[in-house]
Amino acid sequence: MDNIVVTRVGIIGAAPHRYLDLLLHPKVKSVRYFYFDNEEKNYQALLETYSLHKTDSTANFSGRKFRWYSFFTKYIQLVKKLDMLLSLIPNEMLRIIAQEFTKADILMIGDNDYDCSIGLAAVCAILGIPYVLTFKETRFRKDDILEKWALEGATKIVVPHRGYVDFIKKKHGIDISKKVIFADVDWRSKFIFDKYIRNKQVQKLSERDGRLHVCILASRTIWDPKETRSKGRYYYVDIIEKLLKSGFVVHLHTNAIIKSLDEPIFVRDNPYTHLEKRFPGKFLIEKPIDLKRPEGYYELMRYDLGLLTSGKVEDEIFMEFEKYNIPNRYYEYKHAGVVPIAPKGVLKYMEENCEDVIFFEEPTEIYEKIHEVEYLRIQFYRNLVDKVISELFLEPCCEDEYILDLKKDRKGFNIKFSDKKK
Amino acid sequence: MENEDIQKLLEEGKYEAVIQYYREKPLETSQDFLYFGIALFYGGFKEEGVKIFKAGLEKYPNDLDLLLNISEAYYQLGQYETAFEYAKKIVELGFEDPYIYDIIASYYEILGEEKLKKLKELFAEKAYELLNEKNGKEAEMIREKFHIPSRIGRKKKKMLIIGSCANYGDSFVKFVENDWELYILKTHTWKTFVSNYECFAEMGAKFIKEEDLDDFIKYELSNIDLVFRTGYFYGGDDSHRIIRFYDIRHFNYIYKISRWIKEKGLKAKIVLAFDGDTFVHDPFWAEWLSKRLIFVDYILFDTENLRKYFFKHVSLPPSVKTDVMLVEVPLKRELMVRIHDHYRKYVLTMGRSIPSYVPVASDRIVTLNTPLALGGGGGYLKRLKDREIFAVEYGDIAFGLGYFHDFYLSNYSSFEEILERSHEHLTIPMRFSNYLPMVYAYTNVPGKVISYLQFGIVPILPRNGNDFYEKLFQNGMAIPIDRDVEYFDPETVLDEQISEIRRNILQSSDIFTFDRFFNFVNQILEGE
Repeated sequence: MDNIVVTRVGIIGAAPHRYLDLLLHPKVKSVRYFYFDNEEKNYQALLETYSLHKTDSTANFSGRKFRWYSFFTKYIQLVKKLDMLLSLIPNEMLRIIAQEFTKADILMIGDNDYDCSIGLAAVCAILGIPYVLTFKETRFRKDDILEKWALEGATKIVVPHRGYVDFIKKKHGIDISKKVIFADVDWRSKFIFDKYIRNKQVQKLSERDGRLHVCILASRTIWDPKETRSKGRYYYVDIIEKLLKSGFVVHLHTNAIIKSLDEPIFVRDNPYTHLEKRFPGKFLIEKPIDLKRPEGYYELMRYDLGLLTSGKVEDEIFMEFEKYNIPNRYYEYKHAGVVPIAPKGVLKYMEENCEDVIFFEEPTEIYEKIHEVEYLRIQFYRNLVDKVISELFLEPCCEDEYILDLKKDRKGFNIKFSDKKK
Repeated sequence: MENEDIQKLLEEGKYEAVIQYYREKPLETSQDFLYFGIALFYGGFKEEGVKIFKAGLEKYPNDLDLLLNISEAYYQLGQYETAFEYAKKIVELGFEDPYIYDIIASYYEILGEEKLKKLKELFAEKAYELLNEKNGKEAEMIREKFHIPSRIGRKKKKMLIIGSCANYGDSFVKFVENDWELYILKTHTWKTFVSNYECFAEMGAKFIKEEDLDDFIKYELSNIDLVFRTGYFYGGDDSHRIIRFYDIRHFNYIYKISRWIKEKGLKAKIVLAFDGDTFVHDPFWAEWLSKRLIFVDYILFDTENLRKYFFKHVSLPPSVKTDVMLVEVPLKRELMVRIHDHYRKYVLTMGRSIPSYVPVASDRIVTLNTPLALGGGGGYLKRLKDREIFAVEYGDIAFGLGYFHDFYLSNYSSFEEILERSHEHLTIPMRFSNYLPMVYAYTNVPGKVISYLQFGIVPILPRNGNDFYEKLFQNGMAIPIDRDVEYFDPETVLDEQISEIRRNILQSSDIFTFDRFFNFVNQILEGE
């Protein structure tokens, strides 16, 4: 089908430029974006990206704020029965869903259980509106009835890999295998890659000092090891110390260093600053890298290795999902030619299936294993768009699937780009 | 105990052991209910066994094993009707089972009606064919039990129907009786039309789930002779789209299926029928629909006006042929037009009604309040039965009231005037009781008018340029009301005149019966 109109509803997230792959797709005529009111900044970033790269062949773009974020975070969570849900919905919201969302060849809703899109998808399911659910992060919670309705009502469900089918079967007792499309919403933009990254030469820091530099992209970091709310995901003290003791240089790029999510206080004297003092010049706390701008990748490209997880997750219920999770920073690292690393035992699906990640028990293993990593395999958001169009209308993919193998070059960890179409 | 151990005990007939096990274990999974129910039922506690199956179905309403066993249990208890109710639910779930087909065939035999004879044979054949693959002895027993004719194994034509259809889905029985197999792509549908699925199940159709469609297209579509869909397209119309979206997915499927057929050079013809609930004046939706219909072979419209209105807004390639023909109508054999000496001089009304001025005094209006399944609203058997009831209770009422909702408005506009309007002025805010002239009055054939005709009840209709109404007037099958006539008195029409109109209805029944569509389908498949 040509001249496709896409209505996208839900999170814009950390990489607004990935939607350029949708806007520049030759089959897409226009994109209508409905974003929640907590995402104004991301929407502005998306608009700027669109304005900056708009050409004659770019699809029309329009955006609209969907201003019921708090409705979906609060009231809708109380819903336990189908008929209750419709009676709760304000008339104006219902009108927008019924008349505006539906004006599309493809309605895409997603991505995560925390961003309210799943509740909204459940409303569409009850109304009988066909939609593609893009599905990424969730948790193992019993009685997650909205998610169940959202999954059942979807025409197609985009999930990163086959493990999600097993997870959903276990969580909800439903089989989605016949309607899944395997693609990851966190795949980054092919357009950005081609234009800004593919031919860009950035000197690695390791070439200057001969030491391997590890990057940690972490929006928040906490220092209280007893904190339970984040399930240990944001606690990096121990892993950083191990890396430092093994001779790596560690760069922590973070927005905030706080005690815990429950006590979000900052004090200058904290375990991270202690590490900074103990390992001067080897551990650096740095500003977050702004990857919303394509140029942000140049900063990331200086590093050799990128840490995926703190490795400190002990909560069994949390692990039910986390073992299938693919952190979105995995794609940022690979986009920038940075080899992802992770302690063993948390990202279990990736351990079994991702050959381009170095999993270790002790950081010293990384020195040997880095030679085994032959390439970083990259897929793009463009692939996701192709797959959705193809599966939804049973059409062949627009072009060959774009898979790029970034091959390792010489002794160090510089990466040479070589296209390999599959 | 593991499930396998319990199954082994049941196979060995050690029901008591299973009963004892479940006396101490709470029933949680569907298997728990199933095994305990089986143990009780076959262990001599029949009522208790059925109760457990029922309790299990409350928790797991679509569990096939529970449904199969409760149906079989009722059948063994001699409660054939209840056994049949569960059996057809299994068919609706897309499951094929020889024992279930046996139950349905047996029930049709018990009812003994002539109209069910072919359906009984069909189900018996299905049971035979499935059994014959596994157990020749049991298959032979079925053959003997139902005296199955030697037509088994003959080649059948196959029709894929998308969605529930709307009114008079039971008319497709004509295809079934003439060696067609029906495949139903079961989508969500209006409450009103859910019963059509029940009806199709009773007619022996096979059901396809939406999630199985892609596989069906890839592996079975090549065997299909006809793909068909009838019904509405709301095209963003404000009065309807607030809660009803089933057509969106239908047309997505039609695009997908028809594209595949043309690309792969498959034999199937794709035929669509649009009823009067079709609105295409919103430019977005007109374009949206155009994109999805480019590979379709034929489009049928209820009225010529609907065709004109449709092509005013929708552009299609010349390869798409069109015709004016009703599909959501009864079979000729289902007409129950009886000639009486005297008629009750009242005006019947039924179904959806929009408050507006009508040219009949309220004390002359009879409202059908009983929920009888005439064109829909029940399974196949219920429809046959309810039509008999209706014919007896209402068949001698002389007149039926049509729609007059915008006929007497001061801002009344002709069809040609409405056709020229921009889409902003064409929406129908019926639910706000805001009466604007609307295209609907000119393009629609109301289901209730078809039901009146089916029983010889003379429709009282506005002479507004609706071309279907005009056909009725020209053939003396309905009474026209002009805009300057504000009052119709039923007493002014003589019994003889009513009988005459009833005879006209019978004589010109081709206009409003399904048989024409049946012939049309056969003709296009033969390349005519």
